[in-house]
Amino acid sequence: MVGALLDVVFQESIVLIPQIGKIVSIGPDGEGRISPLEDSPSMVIREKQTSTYEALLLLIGNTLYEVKSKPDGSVLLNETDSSAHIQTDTHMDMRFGFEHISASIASPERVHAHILRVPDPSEPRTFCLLFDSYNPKPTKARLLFLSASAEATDNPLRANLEVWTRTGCPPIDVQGGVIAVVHKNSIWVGPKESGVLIHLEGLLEEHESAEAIALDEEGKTLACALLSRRGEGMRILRVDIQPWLKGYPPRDPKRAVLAVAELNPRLPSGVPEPDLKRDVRPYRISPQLDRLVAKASGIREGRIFEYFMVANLEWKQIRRGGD
Amino acid sequence: MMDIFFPEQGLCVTMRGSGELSVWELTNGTLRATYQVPRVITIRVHRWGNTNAEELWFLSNETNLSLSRAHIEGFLSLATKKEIVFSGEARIVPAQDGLRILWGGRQRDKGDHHVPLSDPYTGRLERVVAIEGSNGLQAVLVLRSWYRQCLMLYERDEPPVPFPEVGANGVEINGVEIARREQDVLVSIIEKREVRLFILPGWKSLLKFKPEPPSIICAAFPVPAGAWREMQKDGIGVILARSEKKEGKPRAYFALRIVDSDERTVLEKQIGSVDASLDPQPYARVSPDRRFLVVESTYFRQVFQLPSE
Repeated sequence: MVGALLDVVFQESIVLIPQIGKIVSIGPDGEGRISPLEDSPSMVIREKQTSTYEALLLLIGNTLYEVKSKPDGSVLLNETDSSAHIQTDTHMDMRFGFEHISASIASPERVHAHILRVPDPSEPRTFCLLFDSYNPKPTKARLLFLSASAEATDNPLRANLEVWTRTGCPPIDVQGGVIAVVHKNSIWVGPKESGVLIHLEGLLEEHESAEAIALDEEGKTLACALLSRRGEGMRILRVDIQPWLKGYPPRDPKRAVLAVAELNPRLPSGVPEPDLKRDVRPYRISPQLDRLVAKASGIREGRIFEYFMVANLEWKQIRRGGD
Repeated sequence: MMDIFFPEQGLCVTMRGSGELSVWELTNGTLRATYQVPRVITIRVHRWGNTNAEELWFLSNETNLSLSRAHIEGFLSLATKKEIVFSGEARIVPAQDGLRILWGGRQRDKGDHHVPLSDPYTGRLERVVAIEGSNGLQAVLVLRSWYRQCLMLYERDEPPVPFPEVGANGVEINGVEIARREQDVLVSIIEKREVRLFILPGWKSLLKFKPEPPSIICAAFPVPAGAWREMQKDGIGVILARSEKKEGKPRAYFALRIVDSDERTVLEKQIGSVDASLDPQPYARVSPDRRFLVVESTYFRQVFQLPSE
């Protein structure tokens, strides 16, 4: 599936967008540069290293490559010493591993993995989504919570949840001991040690689906980009998720919305401006909750342009009377 | 498939096969929270000292067999445990690709039972109901599934016995209810079109009830003699449901009928109705305190309050 989106990662001011066949890097000026990517990776690893830098690793064949952006917009693929593997045996058990974690689960078909690793002090800090192909639409996948602690050597699996989510650039985030996942077009969160997710019920309108999510560093608030299926455009909200994490969701979930963001896009040169209501599909919000990466499209002189854009998020607090 | 549990008085938990677990407040019928949990085999534990609530345990079969107990106060937590301990010495432990029922506690004896996860004759382990009596673990009911569902009864020093004359429609765990007394346990079991009352130990049959069409059995529970006024003998409380069209719109009606072991109707009362069609077999249970009826159908979900006398 040439062109299928694998992920979006933030490396300081550069945004890397690996796809099957190419890697797009977008600089602070909004301009994108394309580097070819031969072969399709079976595993994509996004590793948060600092609040502004995410490492990107791709398993191609038996080799794990680290993808690094250079200031001039080009990318480097470095072979790493790290180990990773993914294979299905004759009993249809899937064995996969990354670094010191290796697990085996019954899995009839799935052969792709997306791993999110966070530098948390407590386990689990590795989260693995298993699926059969990189799909831009929600599809059935397994979300594994994995622990690398010494006592977990025999069984690193802390939880195994069935989710319906986008497998190309999966909308999953972990921060401050909290995991957030888009499941069935809606948002679910949970303390990561619990291995359980709670639904942020009543937050979205019925015609909206959650497309991109990001937690703040403490895991107390969540930024989300919601897209209307009725063509009413996109809403970007900042939500206080603490009532849900305590197990007592608010009676009026809409009052948990703390702020809304406006988009300030930096378009690449030579492309038509998109209709922000109709022609923008959000994919990721940066860990600092200050940027959004979206796919946009527009028509100029009868020609359709499709491109990735980075937009700054300008947050506006919601003032409520009587608060 | 959806299972209904009552882990605390006033609260209800519904759980779908996909791992979606919802917590409901019975007094106002509102949804408190919905969780996504791992796929598990559920174990419903009826404790001797707590007749109005049941414990909810999970058996997980991911890489290793493990037991956990669900606590629903606050954020749902699944506390990993080595075993389910009962008064006296009995325990249920995960072991050997299944569960072991250790009737005499940790000192294993010949009377212990092994409940395998899969069995070539009775199929896959699906659900477990454990019943604690005044002297410890009294009975374990195990629902298995192969080409049809089968309910097995495990009692101390007895070989496992299948639910007698099981029909082709099989049994659902929501249709298995108990009422305990000092010495014995009453069990009501719904098979698609009829409900039967048994007494444990053994599968001694006390009563069989089949409603007149078009009513269907939605839920049922055993009623021990003396529990209701004028009721001299053990019986069954049956929630009957029927669907009618009123001004061209479908409407589902629910009624409670209590029938004793002489097949005499002791009480019949209307419970309520819903503006919706009725499934042939809605998911429903009556709370252990017999105050609420929870019904979930394709077209509606409703909590009804039951009459007290």
